[in-house]
Amino acid sequence: MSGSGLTTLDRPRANGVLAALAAVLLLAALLAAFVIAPTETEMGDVQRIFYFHVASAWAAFLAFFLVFLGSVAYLRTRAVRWDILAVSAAEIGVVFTSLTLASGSIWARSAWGTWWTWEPRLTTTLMLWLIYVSYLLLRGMVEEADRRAAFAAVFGIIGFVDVPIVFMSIRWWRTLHPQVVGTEGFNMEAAMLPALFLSVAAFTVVFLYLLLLRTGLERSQQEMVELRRRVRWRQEGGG
Amino acid sequence: MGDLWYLALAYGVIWLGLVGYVFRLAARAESLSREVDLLRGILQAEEAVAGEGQGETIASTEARHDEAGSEA
Repeated sequence: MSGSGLTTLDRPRANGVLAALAAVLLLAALLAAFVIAPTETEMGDVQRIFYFHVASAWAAFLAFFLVFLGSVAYLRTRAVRWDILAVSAAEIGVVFTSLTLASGSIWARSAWGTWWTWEPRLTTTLMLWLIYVSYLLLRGMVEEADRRAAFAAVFGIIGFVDVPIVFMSIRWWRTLHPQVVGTEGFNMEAAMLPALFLSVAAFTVVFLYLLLLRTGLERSQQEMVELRRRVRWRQEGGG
Repeated sequence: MGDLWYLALAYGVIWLGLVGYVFRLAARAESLSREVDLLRGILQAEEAVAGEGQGETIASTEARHDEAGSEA
């Protein structure tokens, strides 16, 4: 078994299965969002943005939670596989946060008449995006692998503090942002729930598929660095 | 602009973002795989040259040893 728990033979098969499952679930989610879910009475069709917007935000939270877990595990064990998990999940989390911000901004233009407003949910989400973009940029500034991983792990743990703040922001502060999950459950029509759950399931599988691709890439990158080091050592007369 | 335009724009951005990211990962994997293969090739060639050099050294040492043995 390799460090990730998947052998090199299992990995392409797992990639294929996850890709197929993601495609099927995404199509089902689209069908549910556009055909099965009823049109919202006040907002009209533009409300349908909400299904993929919420699912994207969920995938981002899941990614940053894995950054947190990977960072804690790295600091405890110093095993490289946890650092690989953390950096891979951080990059994917940034992608999903970007999609959440973009789709939310488009919805806001239609619903509020503005692309952006500095209200708590939007501001804390932008902060979340900036935290993990900084995480990725700062990793590139530290040369030594062990120091980079340790430094990133500390950053990954501290950065995660913003995730519950983003989630709770609409309860803690007065906000324009719709509250999907309230203290008494979902604040939406029951007929809309299948589309929401399917979208969340689809984005979870898409996230796992991307994570498998990205961790494989990170391992190849580390192998390349090691091979470069060995080639340089040989060319300088080592061995 | 109507609701449908914003709806199409939002879903377009999400799909483009996801598909674009998958293609970017695939391109990076392809380029890394090429570089890893190249480096492995260089390393094997270097090791083969070093192995031949080592083989020649052993052969010449054995030859000297044989010569010394026959003189004795």
